Amino acid sequence: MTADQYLVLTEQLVAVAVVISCLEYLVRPGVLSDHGLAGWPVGRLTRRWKTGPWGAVLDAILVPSRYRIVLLLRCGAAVMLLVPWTEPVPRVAALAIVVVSSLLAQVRSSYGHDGADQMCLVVGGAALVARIALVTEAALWFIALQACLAYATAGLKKAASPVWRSGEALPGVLGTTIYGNARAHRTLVRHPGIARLGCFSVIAIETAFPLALIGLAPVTCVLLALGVAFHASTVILMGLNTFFWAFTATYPAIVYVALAR
Amino acid sequence: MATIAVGILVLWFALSVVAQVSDRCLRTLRRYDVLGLIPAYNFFAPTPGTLDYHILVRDLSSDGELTGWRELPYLPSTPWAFVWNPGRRHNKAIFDVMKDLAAWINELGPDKASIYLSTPYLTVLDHVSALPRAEAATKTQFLLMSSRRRQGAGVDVAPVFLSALHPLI
Repeated sequence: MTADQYLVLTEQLVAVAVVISCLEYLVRPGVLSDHGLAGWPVGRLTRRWKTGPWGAVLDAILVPSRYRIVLLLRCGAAVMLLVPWTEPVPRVAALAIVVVSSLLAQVRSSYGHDGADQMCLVVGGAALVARIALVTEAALWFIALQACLAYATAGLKKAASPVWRSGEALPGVLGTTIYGNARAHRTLVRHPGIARLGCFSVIAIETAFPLALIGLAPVTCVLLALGVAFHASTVILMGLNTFFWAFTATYPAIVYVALAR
Repeated sequence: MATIAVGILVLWFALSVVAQVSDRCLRTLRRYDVLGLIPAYNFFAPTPGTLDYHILVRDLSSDGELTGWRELPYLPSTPWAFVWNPGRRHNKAIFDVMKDLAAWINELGPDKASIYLSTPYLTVLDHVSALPRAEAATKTQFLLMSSRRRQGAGVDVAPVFLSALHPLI
């Protein structure tokens, strides 16, 4: 596979996260409505520049009726990325729409976003830079390093936390409404040993993840397989559906940097 | 062109690394990061969110009677949440607003009134003021509560914040 094919695969995986995210917003637009918790009338007051000379432009784009069009465009652009176009122009256009709409979402409100949206912006932004300036290899390096930074940061901060080291974190999180799973919560409360093992497994996988870049095929394959299993478990237990696609989208870049160059 | 592009990626990554060092670094960078390009990768760490947050509302009627508290519901999850989870954005927004409000309360100086102009306060106030109401009301008030599922059975509940009474227009 060429560097370009690895980048196409990365774009396709991140496009799945973008499509799901757009459709979820379009089906339940209440949170984006004028009086929703991520509404524009309050969101525009968070920074002075949003009501300055740029205010009229942002108002025109970010009111709910027009923002739905932005979401439809974003969804359409992501669907285009799923098709392995050979022509670069449609890919650049689709990536530009995905990236600009990600930025607009951040500008509109800081509420309701998650780490998957963040990774979609990082991956989409790097892919766009790669397509415009023909720096595919640099973009793949950037994506791989961002993924390792993400996992290592999350792992090290958990390792420093007494709540994670005591094994209380997983049952605590799984006991919540938004990330919870009643059956898993009950199981971990009944078996604190399993909860502690789960917490240490998460810490170990995340902290060790940067070793995927050292260039030893078995190490890279094992860590990526553990990463897939980890995200699959968070999808099933916590409903973090777009995290799976956004983070595995970085894996082709890791394979390229570690093994395929 | 290629050099500039690589430079952009190097700068973006370097700033991303700096942002992970401490909350202070992240806050400083985000002050200038108007487009939200700098990521925060401390997922569920160091202290994971193990609380549920609840928004409760009551109104003052025209005859001066306060209604009972009613809770704004979370959007329900579906059995297919692993592929399709549209309610999570609203639910995450409740969580984000509460976290933001808690941060404001912790950082409040002597001028406690500044909370009334904070983004999370205005967000919740705007949201609850626009709720459909069966009976005419002149003022509204919200209460933010937290709850935690106990290790055994039951739930621990605690109040977090009580708003002022605000006129409904």
